[in-house]
Amino acid sequence: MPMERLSDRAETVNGEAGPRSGSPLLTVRDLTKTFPVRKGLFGRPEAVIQAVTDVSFSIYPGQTLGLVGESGSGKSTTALCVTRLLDVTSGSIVFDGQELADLSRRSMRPIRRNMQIVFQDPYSSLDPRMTVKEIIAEPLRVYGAYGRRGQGERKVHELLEKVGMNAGDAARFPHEFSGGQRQRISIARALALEPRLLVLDEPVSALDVSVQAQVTNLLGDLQEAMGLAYLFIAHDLAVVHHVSDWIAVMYLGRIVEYGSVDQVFSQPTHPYTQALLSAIPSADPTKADDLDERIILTGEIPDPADPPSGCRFRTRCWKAEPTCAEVSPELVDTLGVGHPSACHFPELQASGVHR
Amino acid sequence: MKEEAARPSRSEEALLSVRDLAVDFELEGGMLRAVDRISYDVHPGEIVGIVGESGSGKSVSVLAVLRLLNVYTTGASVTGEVLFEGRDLFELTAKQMREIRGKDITLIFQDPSSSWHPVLGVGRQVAEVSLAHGKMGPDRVRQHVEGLFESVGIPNPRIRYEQYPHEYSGGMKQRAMIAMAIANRPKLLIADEPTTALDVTIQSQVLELLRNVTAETGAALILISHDIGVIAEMADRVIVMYGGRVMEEGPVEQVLLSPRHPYTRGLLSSLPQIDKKMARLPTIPGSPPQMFQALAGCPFEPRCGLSGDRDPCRESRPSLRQCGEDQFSACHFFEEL
Repeated sequence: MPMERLSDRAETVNGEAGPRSGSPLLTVRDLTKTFPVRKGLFGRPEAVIQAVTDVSFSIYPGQTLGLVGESGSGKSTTALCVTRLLDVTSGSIVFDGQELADLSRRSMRPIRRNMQIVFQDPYSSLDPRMTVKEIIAEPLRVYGAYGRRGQGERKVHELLEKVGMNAGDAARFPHEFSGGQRQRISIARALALEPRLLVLDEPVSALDVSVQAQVTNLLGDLQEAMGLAYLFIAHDLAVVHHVSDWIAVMYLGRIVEYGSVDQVFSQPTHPYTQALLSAIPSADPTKADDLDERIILTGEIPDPADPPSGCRFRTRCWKAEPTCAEVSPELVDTLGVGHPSACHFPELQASGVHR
Repeated sequence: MKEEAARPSRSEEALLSVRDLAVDFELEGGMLRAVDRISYDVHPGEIVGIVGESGSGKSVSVLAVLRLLNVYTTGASVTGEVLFEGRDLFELTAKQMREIRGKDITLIFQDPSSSWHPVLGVGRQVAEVSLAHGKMGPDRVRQHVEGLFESVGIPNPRIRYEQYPHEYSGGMKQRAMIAMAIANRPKLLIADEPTTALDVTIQSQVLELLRNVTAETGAALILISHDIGVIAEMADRVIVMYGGRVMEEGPVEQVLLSPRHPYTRGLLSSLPQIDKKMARLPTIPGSPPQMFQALAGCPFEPRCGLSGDRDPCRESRPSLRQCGEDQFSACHFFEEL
């Protein structure tokens, strides 16, 4: 896909997500990541898994982009590429005016302090042998920002208070805390170097329902107070809807729909987005009648080592036609609804579904 | 029992009656009460949802019902009464219990990857259940299993029969698990988080299958989930568990639309909504109890906004009282809600 056209298109996304303050903090263009599949340890690559293909998006300061998709959609790989924890096969990642895609590990280091990751599982992402203070102080020490003893300690205490914990918790170990508190500790560690972008990979999925709201609110408060940009990855659409300004829906490595959260949720035009939204079980029993209206997709996500030709969703799509197997649909706003989707036959209403 | 006094006398026709069920685990630090004297009924053909967070006792309680908590390895002690079609399961011999388990009552587990034997063909594993309980000979069983595969939407049953679990996707493994569960036309299915490990589009396939299977076989279903949305669209009745106890119980619409327990109410309002945007989510402070001893008062009291530190909440156990038509709440002060 030609680069200029795609960037033009991304700029035509004019949702109600609020004013965009100046230029984007992060701009990803045509990001592609493939993994070779080998047989045996020294075997030749036999196939190539296309984990992420031609993904483009922008994130503005103080705003959240929600990356949505099911397992195998490439959303976590995208996050790892953006932070350069994985090397990029091709494409461009511009962060704060600087191209990251071809930077060496060494030149990446000073940039990483500005982009931090919070992982899903607060049980495995914190070292059980380190105290909370050591965990939060580690990034400060690595970047020589710990300062003298008194200073560093004060920073740790401030960070703990920022995430709703007490300075007294600094001497304790992760196992003494509940899942929600551990995730607060992970967030405090991620904030230690005052980053501008947080990549949040399923940050509340492992938490109990009654605790998810607390952490979600905390993330909102921190964003407002510190002007942070978030790349928020989740499979729970209700959570993504709550936190995001922009949404990119991914399927088998590609973005299939992209726009402001209000637009994508209220006027989805891609059949996959429509199916995904319709599959969410609602806690409101008065909507039980909607069950008849539900789109139930047949089949499963195809093998990313052997993705379908043309449109990757066509094998599960109820309106696939021969052209879908031949031509990969571009991410364009065919219907003029204000945001693009990658479908040859986009519609505002899901029609012709076999229910 | 006092708690049951207020309950209408539906229990005579119940398929499963759980009375005063308690499960304690003996740990190094003392006793852990995982299930704290719960009672509920399941009627024929009914779908009962049990919703709760981790540590609420929802899974342990059904394992106890099926006598699957090994007393020797887990140090569990189980008390109470479980009547299945009028027979007390806790009075049966191990052999009698085995005849019921896998035939009249079957289980569907959460994790489709760890609940299959990795080196046996899936078809053979499903066949085992029919051979163990049915009068079917090995000659006919394969045909029977292939028919089951067909009915749960597994394509190419002949090929699928031979395949191993790793050749199945998560959704297909769960379909095969459902095939196994219905192999002997059970009267009661128990599904413990059957779709939690699945993607949302696969989840809706499996839920639809469960709905169809129960409708066709007339089996009752106990559906355990932390996802209120799943319960809302599947269940006829819902049991809300917290800290090992039943907090609220009733018809699913009533409980979700007009909850009469502060925990249910708090939980529901903390869920983000797809169709309305809120600046902040209302929250319940604190986190669910993980380890606890049998409490004198209410387990939700430390997090409860309604309690206001009142003595009864800390001192006396709230009984499950009728708070609406067929709706029950274990809160001393539900009238104030």
